Amino acid sequence: MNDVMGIIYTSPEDFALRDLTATRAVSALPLASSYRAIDFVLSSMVNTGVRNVGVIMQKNYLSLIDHLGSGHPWDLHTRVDGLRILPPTGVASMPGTYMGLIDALNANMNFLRRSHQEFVIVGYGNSILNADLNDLVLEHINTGADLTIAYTKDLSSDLAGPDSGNKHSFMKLDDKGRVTEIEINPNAPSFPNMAIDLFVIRRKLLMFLINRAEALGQKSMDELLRDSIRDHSLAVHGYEFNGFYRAIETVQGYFRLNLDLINPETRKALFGKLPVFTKTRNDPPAKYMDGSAVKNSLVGNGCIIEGTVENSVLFRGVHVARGAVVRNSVLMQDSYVMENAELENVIFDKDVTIRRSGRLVGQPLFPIVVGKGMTL
Amino acid sequence: MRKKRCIAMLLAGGQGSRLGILTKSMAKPAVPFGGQYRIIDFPLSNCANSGIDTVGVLTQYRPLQLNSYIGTGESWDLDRNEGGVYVLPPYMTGETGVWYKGTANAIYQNIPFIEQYDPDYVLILSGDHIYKMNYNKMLSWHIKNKADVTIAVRSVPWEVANQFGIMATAEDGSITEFAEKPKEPKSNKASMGVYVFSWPVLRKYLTDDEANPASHNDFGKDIIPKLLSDGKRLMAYAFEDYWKDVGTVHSLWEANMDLLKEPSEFNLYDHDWPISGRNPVMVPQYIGSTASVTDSMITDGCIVNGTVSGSVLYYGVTVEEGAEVIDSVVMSGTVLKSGSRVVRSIVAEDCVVNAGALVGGEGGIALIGTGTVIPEGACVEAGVQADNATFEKEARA
Repeated sequence: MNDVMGIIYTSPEDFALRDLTATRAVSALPLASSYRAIDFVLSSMVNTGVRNVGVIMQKNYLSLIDHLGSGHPWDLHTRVDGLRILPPTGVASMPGTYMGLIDALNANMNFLRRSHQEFVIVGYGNSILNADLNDLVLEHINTGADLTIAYTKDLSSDLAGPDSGNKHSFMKLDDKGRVTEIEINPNAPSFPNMAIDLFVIRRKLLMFLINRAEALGQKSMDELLRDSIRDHSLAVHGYEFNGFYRAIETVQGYFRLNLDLINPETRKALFGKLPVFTKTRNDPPAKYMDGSAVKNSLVGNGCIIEGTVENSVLFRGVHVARGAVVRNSVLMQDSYVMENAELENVIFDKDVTIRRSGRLVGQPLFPIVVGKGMTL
Repeated sequence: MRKKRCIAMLLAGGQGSRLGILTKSMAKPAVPFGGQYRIIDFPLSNCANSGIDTVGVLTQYRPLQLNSYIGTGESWDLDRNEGGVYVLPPYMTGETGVWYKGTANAIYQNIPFIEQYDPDYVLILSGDHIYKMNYNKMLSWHIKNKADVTIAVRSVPWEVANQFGIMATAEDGSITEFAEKPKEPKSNKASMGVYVFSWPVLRKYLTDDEANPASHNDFGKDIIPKLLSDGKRLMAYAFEDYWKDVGTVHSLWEANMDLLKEPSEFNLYDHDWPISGRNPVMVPQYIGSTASVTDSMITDGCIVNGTVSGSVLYYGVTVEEGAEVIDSVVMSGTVLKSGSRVVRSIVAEDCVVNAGALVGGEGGIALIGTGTVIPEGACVEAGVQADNATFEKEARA
């Protein structure tokens, strides 16, 4: 489908991710051995046939730019359209941060104006899903809706965690799928349909709504939707998204998502149908030495494993030395577990080293996070 | 086009017939190696790491895989505006047009390509070997010694010296004698098939060689002996690091096994000399609860629930629970069903080894051709080569 463009909003709401987002945007968080969070929504758009994608960046976007580059891994390094990186601009009040999606779109109105596609899919960089979104666009066209927003009834993701802050909207739908009520960030939602930060709209209508929102003082997309649903000024439809969906919002959620993806069924649900593209490194295959014992784990290329690894996710280039034991842990790229060290329920950010015979044990629901480049 | 000091010409037209059914559908340089590479990745990565950004790849035999593999050269950072990698097949010129008659003729036919860059030096490479080499050092040696041609040389075991170009050198490293595949070699200093030529000299000798109807148009047989007899300055450049010709089933298997040795004879994990290749995007490898993996290399996209020991698995291989892979090389996309057993073998891409099938054993290396489906309970003995035709024949008999 060529008449659709994409916008990916990389949210600054990362306080619940603590050290993991100290130096990077949530969208740049490494995930499942070889990916970064943004790969999923970006690949979904590309697999849908979208060839013009703008990525709205803010705060700590260096690693995101480094990852996306010219858009080559997603075949978005084209002369016409392609990947457009949209760094923060035009907001005087809080440099580097937008107040929300509306503020961000307002600042990047030129990109919308200059694009030529009829429809826009707007997604968030921390949404983990992998789907052909043509169904969403087709439903939008067929129902004649002004705006179609995706929702899920599957609330298995860690939304009720202590850090989540209940930042989700729930919608009531009539029998034709039209949204009749929306609840913003409820403590106890009255409806089972959770909106998932993914919607489609005509490009020109989006520009109009953003301009008007400024006049009406609407700060967030949720407010805009709520007002438009109340006064019936917009026909908002819900699209039930049946595929795998998680949002990276908390340390616990991030930890659980990685470990859940070890399970072949869960992995199939996310990766089974369409490819997820990512920037690859030049790593050789992983090497399993004599005496290594690896069970039920995901391992990235470039790893060297001499010790024991169980129920864990190792990213590229991790070294687990002889006698070391890694259980229930997530070790990001180039981590080094030295001889006889022991890890359980731990998240290592990139380039972390634990010295000989060191021991670090967290709780399954409260993993220990070690920041980038630390040596223990 | 801007002048280049040195460009490389990579001879990649070889069939590699000693690799048997493995090279039925691809040229030897396209043969997969080491989990996620192809043989041609090594000279291409060496070029990129040596700062040589213009490479002509001469193809002839089954070029499709090589063409699509090399693409724009982006995987080796060889997608340059000035220079880059070019695939150069033989072509028609007006009414005539011939296949490449020999290694020298292949370069001769591409003189117009080389002249675009007006190089001072031309590096001649082959796509047959696994090695890491800084061609810049060799070029410096060539320049320092004011040589007309410099040949990379290494010692080989005496018993195989008769398979190489063998030379004798003086104390200063200049070459005094050269014999291509001599019956009775006088030394064990073998040519690696890596040459640095000063371009004016090479151009003259290629042109003269073409005019000689008795010539084989081959570097080893014709060009080098002629240079020597004309009294040109030929230098040997000694290279004693890892270098392996992977021209036979056994040597290809052995070179893969060399990667597993500890400490490894050939280190792929060297960040200062990365080997690049063009790889599909794959999900991470999964090692299941029932798996046992030791002494092996495994690549992204593999799913291992069985036993893997002393083996190299290329991307996207599935080893089901109860399947066993021992001292073997299994190429991408192959599935080993529960209860199958593969020992001392090379199993090519996209094969299915069904339940209870046995492949290989003590003795020679067994080879299973691309896309072969090995029936349930079938047995492929050590040293045997088999593909779908083999089993169809068996089924009919």
